[in-house]
Amino acid sequence: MSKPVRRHKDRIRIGVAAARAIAGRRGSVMMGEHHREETTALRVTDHVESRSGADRPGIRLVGAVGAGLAIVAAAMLLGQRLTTVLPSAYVVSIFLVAVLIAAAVFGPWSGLVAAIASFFVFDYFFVEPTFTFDVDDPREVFALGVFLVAAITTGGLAGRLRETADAARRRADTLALLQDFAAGVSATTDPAEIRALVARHVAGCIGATAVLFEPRSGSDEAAESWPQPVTPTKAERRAVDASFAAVDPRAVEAGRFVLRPLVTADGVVAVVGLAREAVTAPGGEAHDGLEALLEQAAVALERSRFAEEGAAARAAAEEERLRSALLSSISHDLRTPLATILGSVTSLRQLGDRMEAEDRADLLLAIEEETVRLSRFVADLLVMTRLEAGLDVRRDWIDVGDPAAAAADHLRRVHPDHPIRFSRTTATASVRGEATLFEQVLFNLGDNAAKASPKGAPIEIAVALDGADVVVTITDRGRGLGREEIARLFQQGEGRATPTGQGGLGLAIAGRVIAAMGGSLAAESRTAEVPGTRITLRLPRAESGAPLDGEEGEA
Amino acid sequence: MSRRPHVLVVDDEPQIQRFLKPALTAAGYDVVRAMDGAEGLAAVRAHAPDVIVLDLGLPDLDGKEVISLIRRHCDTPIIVLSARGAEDEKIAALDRGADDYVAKPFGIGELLARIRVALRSGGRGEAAPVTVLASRDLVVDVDAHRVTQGGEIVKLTPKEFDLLVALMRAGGRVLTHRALLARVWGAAHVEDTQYLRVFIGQLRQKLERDPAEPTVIVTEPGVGYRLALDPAGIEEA
Repeated sequence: MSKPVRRHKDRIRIGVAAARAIAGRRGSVMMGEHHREETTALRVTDHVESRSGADRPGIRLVGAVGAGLAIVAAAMLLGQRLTTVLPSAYVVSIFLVAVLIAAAVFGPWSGLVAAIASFFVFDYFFVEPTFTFDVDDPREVFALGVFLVAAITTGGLAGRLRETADAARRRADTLALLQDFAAGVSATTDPAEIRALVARHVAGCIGATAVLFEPRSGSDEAAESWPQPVTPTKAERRAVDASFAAVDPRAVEAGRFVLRPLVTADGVVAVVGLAREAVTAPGGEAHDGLEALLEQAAVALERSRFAEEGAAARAAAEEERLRSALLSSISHDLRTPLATILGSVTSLRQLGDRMEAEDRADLLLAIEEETVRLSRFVADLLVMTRLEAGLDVRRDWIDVGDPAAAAADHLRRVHPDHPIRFSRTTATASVRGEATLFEQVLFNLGDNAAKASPKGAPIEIAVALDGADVVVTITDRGRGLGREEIARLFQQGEGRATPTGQGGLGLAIAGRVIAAMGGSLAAESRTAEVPGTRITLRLPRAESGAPLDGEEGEA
Repeated sequence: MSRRPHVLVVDDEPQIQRFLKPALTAAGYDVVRAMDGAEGLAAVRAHAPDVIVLDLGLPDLDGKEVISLIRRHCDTPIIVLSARGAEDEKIAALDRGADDYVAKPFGIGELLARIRVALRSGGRGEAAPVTVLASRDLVVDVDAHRVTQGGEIVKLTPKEFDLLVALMRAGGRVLTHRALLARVWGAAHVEDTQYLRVFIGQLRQKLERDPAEPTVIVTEPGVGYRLALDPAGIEEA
């Protein structure tokens, strides 16, 4: 499995095809994951059964022996009361019950101890002559022997039963924990939630603090911990980093934790810190299901990382799609005039003498017009390149009226079919900005307006004051913009150029330039007072001498 | 010529139409214009043009789709106008049944040459099996399996011969790698472009004066090969 996983990681940044490859492959990864879960679940069952009974030396044994003795003592007291009313042959059954209880409740060792103790106690207290271990009647010896064998056998059986029940319960607990974890991680793809689930379940499994570290440099905080937040010490952090870097990652002790690297085919996805006292305490036992839980956690974390990378790849693919659409729109805008110019020139050269005079004149005019169009487009392209490169827009003192009037003049020359009306209602309309860029913006917007309007429809450019702002409006009587088109305009205002049929670059530039001048761009279409479309540019007014440092940051 | 050939130009760019109309008229053609795919399809039915010049980037229909629709009911030669660099698009257009392409921007001479070739070959339906083909000083006798250049016999292997015949029969139209491979090696080998490179190289060794700067077999980068024509084109002797 390691190969495909690695390969698709490498390919993630390539784009659409890579994203598709990931989507396809992710399916296979998930299948692998599912498979792995099943095998670990099987392993858990083995694991629990093999441990049953073998891991209870020490304290537990002492407790079991004590409990067995205590139960026999209780049986003895009860027996002494009963000897007044019952023959001793019946009292023996009380001891048999005591042995059964000891074995069933406290396990086989307790049962064995209880059986032997019962044998001696019964002999001492209840068999004639009492208060000695001597036995008068040889039949009593036989009865005692039978009692001992019966007690030990039933005690053993009951104890075994009890242990099986114990093991089954622990196995059920473990499976419930694992199932709960699996259900939790499969219900979410949110990496933070998965991290929280891992920490919570590991902590639940070991019954102490669990911490989760991810391979992120920078932050010294643990990525996740349970039950309370944990700030690792420097030494602990170093040990965690070493675990991530290790060629052969294995469990290490560091500070308060035992660090367990979670390893997948891709390497160490995370390091889990287990509270040291919980896993290495003397007599402390291995925690059932911990290994399986850690393994599942590794897979879940790896999957969530793939999901994150997949999302990033999708975003990159979308970005690439936009870029390629913009590029194709730009290349179209460059190619069409070039094709017209080259086609017209070669036609004139090769076929000019066979053409009508007016056709020749029209081809020359076409060449002129396309050359002008091309040079304007190249100018826009240069501005866009400059803005993309992060070069600042100059912030000179300019009177908006001047570039606005210049743009209106320019528009009159390019669109003789449209009356261009320029008006200003204020004598002072000073802003900070770059005059030539601003003129280009207004020209682009006016050009778009003219293209969207029927012949003869006027274009109005107005400069006015509105409170602390200078407001420039470009109003047309054209077909108007749809809601979507306006939305796209605003997207462009944020600096993301999207291709549009007309003047896509012009709008993108307008958005960028106005933003760099600290202003904003708005559009309204077909409202009560606007017959076609109105673009409103709002710029902060720069009163002479007024400090403008506040706006610098908005660029 | 009794009737001026009709050229249908399907292009949504008014500027392109603006220079193509007078240029093609001056070159001796009658020009019909269509500004989008639907108009173009209607014009094919209404005017039965002799050759169609089709821009692949149309506002209403995908240019490749237009080719398929035209091919459903006629074999009129189609010359595609497409952007330089969009090789996949050109190949797709040729596979759909376009006859040739011209990359924008182009000189009018290039387009006129393609139109002449297209008109001569008269569409995709290959003419009755011609047994002797000639271009410039190159003569191929298909039946006799004999190739002469400037009167001298050129010895070709069977595959080289088949390749040359395929190119000669196309008469100056571009043939895509796939088309050439299918014709010479069979449908199972359409992906084996390296065969072509090797055999075209061998052919050039034998036919070109300077194999490094071929003038007989021209490479169309990323698309295929074509035979370079003398102004008279291929004679069918």
